[in-house]
Amino acid sequence: MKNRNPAMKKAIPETKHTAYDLELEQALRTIHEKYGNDFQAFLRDVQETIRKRNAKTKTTACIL
Amino acid sequence: MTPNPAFRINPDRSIYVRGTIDRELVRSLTPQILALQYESRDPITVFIDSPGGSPDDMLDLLNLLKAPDQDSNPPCNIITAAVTNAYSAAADLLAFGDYAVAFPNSRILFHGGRVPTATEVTAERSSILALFLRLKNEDSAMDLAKEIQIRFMLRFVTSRHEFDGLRTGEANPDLSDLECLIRYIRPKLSTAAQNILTKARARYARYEEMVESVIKKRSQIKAAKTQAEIEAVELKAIVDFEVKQNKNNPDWKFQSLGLTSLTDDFLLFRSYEDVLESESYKSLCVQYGMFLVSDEITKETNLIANEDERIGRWTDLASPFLKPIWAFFVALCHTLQQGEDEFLSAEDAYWLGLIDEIIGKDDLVHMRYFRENMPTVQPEASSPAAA
Repeated sequence: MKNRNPAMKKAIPETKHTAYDLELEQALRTIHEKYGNDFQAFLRDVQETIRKRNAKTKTTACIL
Repeated sequence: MTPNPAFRINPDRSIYVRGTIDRELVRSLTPQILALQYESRDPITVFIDSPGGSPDDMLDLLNLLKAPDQDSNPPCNIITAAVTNAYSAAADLLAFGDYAVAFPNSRILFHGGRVPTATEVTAERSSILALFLRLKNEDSAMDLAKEIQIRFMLRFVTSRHEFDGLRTGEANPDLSDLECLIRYIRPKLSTAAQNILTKARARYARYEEMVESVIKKRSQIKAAKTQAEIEAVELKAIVDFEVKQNKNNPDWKFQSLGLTSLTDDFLLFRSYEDVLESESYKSLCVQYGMFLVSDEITKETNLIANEDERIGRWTDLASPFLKPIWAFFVALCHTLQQGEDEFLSAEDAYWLGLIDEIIGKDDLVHMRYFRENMPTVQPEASSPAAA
């Protein structure tokens, strides 16, 4: 079904990916300062945070 | 952890792209999109279950979704989500989202362009159609690569700490980052995606040789030349490359397929150069450079006060690492856009850089985690970049 006519090419709007993303740069800089290149350590911390949050939500739900 | 709405699907502010993407679908979704945009500039989720359709209508839909408002506010952030199937133009729509997610059992399909013909096809017309499709595929592949390069680069940067283990395992300390990345990704992919990876690897090897030979010839230019004269040198280098590549094929000649390859390679080379000089490539170098060089060099580079100079320095530092990965990614996008009906799983799409996140998979690194789980670290006051 693809049928794009190059002569009538329509522009793809700019996305966050193509725009300069200062916020992402800041986030990556902060992660690099704490974890260096070890993204697995970062991931483990995130998983732990999620686990704790989910446990807290369950506990709150049980109390209610 | 603070949930960030720019990275989370939200059925309360969403549209559903269901069925074939055509004029009628765009018409029916337009009032909904305008109402959501009028209500607020918060993100809009686009849930996708579609066999594809017209790329032009898909782009109309995307342009409408990304429209500014009368006060010139930036467009709403678009989160695309493959619910079940995202094929063809719907796969492009998925990939073009500011943040793209897929449900675990969704299927994604990229393939080459097609032209429906209502009349009988003659030999002359078939060759024109073949050229048209080839150019269209090249064009679509570069569009895709430019839009989503940040995802594949993130796969590279976040996997890189595993590469030394791979080098040790193979007793090959000289294994390049790209070879390590391919070896790291391959076992995580379905057979169909592994085939795509293999084809992309072969395509990349050809690109590298071609690009290297053109750059070498161009570097021999002494006097100032016009753009057309520079392109003539590049074309001659590609002619020599094609002849060398096909020296063992007695049937090969420019008169038949050779001229088409020459056109393809020339256009590819020009696009390749354009992207490597683009702002988006430079921003990749700035964002990911720190993960590729030593802490000492990172600190030194971030202390450069002049922004243009700092970006230039990061581009120089990161390019030896990122260029081969980027070139491979371009080859991958070309393989996807020229392929024939290779269905990909959500996991394939993640590892090939086509989406950001798989719903429910908490063992994969993605952008949302970066935005929602920023560790608290005091920025160094002396660093202009940290200010």
